[in-house]
Amino acid sequence: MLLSKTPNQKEIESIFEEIILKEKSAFYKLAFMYVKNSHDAMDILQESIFKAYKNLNTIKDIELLDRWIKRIIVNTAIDYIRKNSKLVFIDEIQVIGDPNYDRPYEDLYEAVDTLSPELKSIIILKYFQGYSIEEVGEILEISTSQVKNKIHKALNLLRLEIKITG
Amino acid sequence: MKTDFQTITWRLIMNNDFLEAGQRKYDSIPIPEDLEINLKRTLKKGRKYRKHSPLFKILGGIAAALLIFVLSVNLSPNIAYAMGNIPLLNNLVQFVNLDKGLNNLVRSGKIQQLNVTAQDKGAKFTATAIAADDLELYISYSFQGKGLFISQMKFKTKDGKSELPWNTFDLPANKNYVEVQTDKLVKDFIIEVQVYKDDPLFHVPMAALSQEVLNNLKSKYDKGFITTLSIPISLSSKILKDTSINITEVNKEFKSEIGTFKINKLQISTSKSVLYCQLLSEDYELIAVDNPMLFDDAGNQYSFSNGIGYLQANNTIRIDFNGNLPLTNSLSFKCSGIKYVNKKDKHITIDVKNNIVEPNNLGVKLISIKGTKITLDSSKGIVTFALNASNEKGEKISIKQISEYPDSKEELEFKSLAYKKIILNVAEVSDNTTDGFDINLGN
Repeated sequence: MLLSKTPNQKEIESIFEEIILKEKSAFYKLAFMYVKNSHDAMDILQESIFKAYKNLNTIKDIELLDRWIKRIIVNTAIDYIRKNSKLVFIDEIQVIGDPNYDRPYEDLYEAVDTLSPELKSIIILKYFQGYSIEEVGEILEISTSQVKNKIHKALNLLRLEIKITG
Repeated sequence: MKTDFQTITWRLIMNNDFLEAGQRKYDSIPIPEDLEINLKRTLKKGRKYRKHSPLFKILGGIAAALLIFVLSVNLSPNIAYAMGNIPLLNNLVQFVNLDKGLNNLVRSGKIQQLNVTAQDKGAKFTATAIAADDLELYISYSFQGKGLFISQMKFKTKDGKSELPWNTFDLPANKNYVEVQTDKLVKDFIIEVQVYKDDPLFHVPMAALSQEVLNNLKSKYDKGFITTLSIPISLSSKILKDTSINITEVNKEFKSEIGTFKINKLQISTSKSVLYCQLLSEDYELIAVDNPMLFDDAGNQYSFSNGIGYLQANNTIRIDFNGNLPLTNSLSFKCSGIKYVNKKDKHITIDVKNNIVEPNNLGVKLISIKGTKITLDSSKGIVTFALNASNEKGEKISIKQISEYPDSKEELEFKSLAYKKIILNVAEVSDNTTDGFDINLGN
C-alpha cells in the first residue's frame, strides 16, 4: 500500500539521514581504505547508503544504526573489490615465513592494501576507526575470538615474506 | 605458533611509528568537497524508493510527460488517513471532517448523491456521491473486482471523444474517493476507469524490490489490462449554480537569482485556493516551487494541498491550497526555493549512430548502447529525464522505462533505437534550486 509508513519508521529515516551527514567523513574514509581512490570510494559509499536506505525497515536497534551502516559499507566494499580486482591477496596464497624480511610498506596505512578484504576490514575497523575487538565483532557479525584470531593472522602476514607458488 | 602470533602482534602494536604513521595518513585522507552534496542526492533517491510503490513508477510512465517528475509526493494527512481502512463510504458526509475543502463544499450544499454503476469482466464500479465547484471535484466510489484494481481515472466529455483537462494525482488504488483538480465544471461528463489485474508486488514499497523485479513489473502490469469502464455523470443544477470563484489580481514579485518570480493571481473558491505564479526569465525554465505556503494576518498557515505544482504555458505554475482563504491584506507567500532548468540544458542529444552524447552543460555522458537500452552517466548533476523524447526528424518517441541507479547511472529503455539521434527532454536537475523567499501579497 502506498505510504503505509508509521511515525516510527519516519523517525528512523530522519535519524538515518542525520547520521549519514554527521558521520560522512568516517563513512567515506572507511570506503576509501579499500580502494584508495576518491572515485571508487564515492561509488561504494553511495551504493552502501542506497542499500541501507532500502533496507532500513530491517533495522532492529536504532542505537546500532551507525555500526549497521558500517557493516553495509564493509560488505559493499568487499563485493566491489572482488568484482573489480584481479589482485591476489596474501592470505589466499601459500606463504613462507621469513621474520627478518624488510616490510615493503612504510606503515599500516600502506600495509593493509596487501591484505585480503576480510582481514583488511578487521584491521581498518580496529586500528583506523578505533573500535574495540568486541565492537569489531559486532559490526562484522563474528565472535570476539574470531576477531582476535584474524588480527593475529593479519599482523603475522604483514611481517612475512610472501612467495607465490605455482 | 600461538606464541609467535602474540609476539608479532605485540611487536607491531608497540611499533608506534608503523601504526601512528599509518593513522596520520588515514587522518589526512582528503574529503571531497562534493561529498555532502553527493550523499544528499543518494538520500533523496533512497527516500523516493522508500516512499513510492512500484505502481507509482509504472503509472508515472503512462501519465503525462512532465508532471509526474515535478511531483514530490507529499500527500496531505487527510488523504493519507482516507487511504486507511475507512469502511465503505456510500456517503461523502461520513468523511467531510477529513478535508477542509470538502467540508466547505458540503456545508454550502455543493454535494450530490449518485448511484451510477458500470460493470464488465468481473469489475464493478459505482460512483456514489460527488461534491464539486469549479476548482475541485471529489468523487466517492465503490469498486468490486476480485484480484482487480483501478489503475487510472480519466475524465471525458459527454460524447467520450475528448479528454477534459482535469487531473487526479493520487493513485486511486486502496482508496474510496478521489480528488480531481478542475478548471471549469461541465454538466455532463464521463469518468473512465481503467481496470487491471492486481499483483502483490504492486503494493510493496519499491525499496523492497530488486532492480530486476522492478524492470519486469511494467510488462506484468501491461499484460494485466482487463477493461475500461465508462461512468456517465450528470451534475445537478445545485452544484453548477453560483460557483463564485473570487479572482484577485495580485501582481507581486520577488527578484530571485534566476529571474523575477511573480505571483499573478489568486483564485478562491469554496473548496480551495489557487495561486498562479510565473518566472520571468530569458534563460531559465520553471520546474517546481518547493514547499509553498500561505500565511494570513492571524498567523494561520495554509499549506500546499497535494504537493503538486501544475505547470502551465509561459513559465507559469498553478499551486493549489486546500480550503478557501480569508481575503486579507496581509496574506503572505513563502517557499523554500524554486526548481529550475537552464533553457540551454533542456535537451540532451544522443548521437546513436556515432555512439556519443553531444556536448552539454550537465555533464551527461554515454556509458553504453546495448540492444534497446542506453545507459548514461549524469554524475555532474543528477538529471531527471522526461519520458517523452524525439528523434532527429523531430518525431516523438517514447521511452519505455527509465531506471535510476544510486551511482548516477541512468538506464533508458526504448521500444526501438532505429534512429540517428535521440533528443531527450530534461525534466529536472536536482541541484538547480534557488534559496527560499517570502512575498507579501497585501497592498
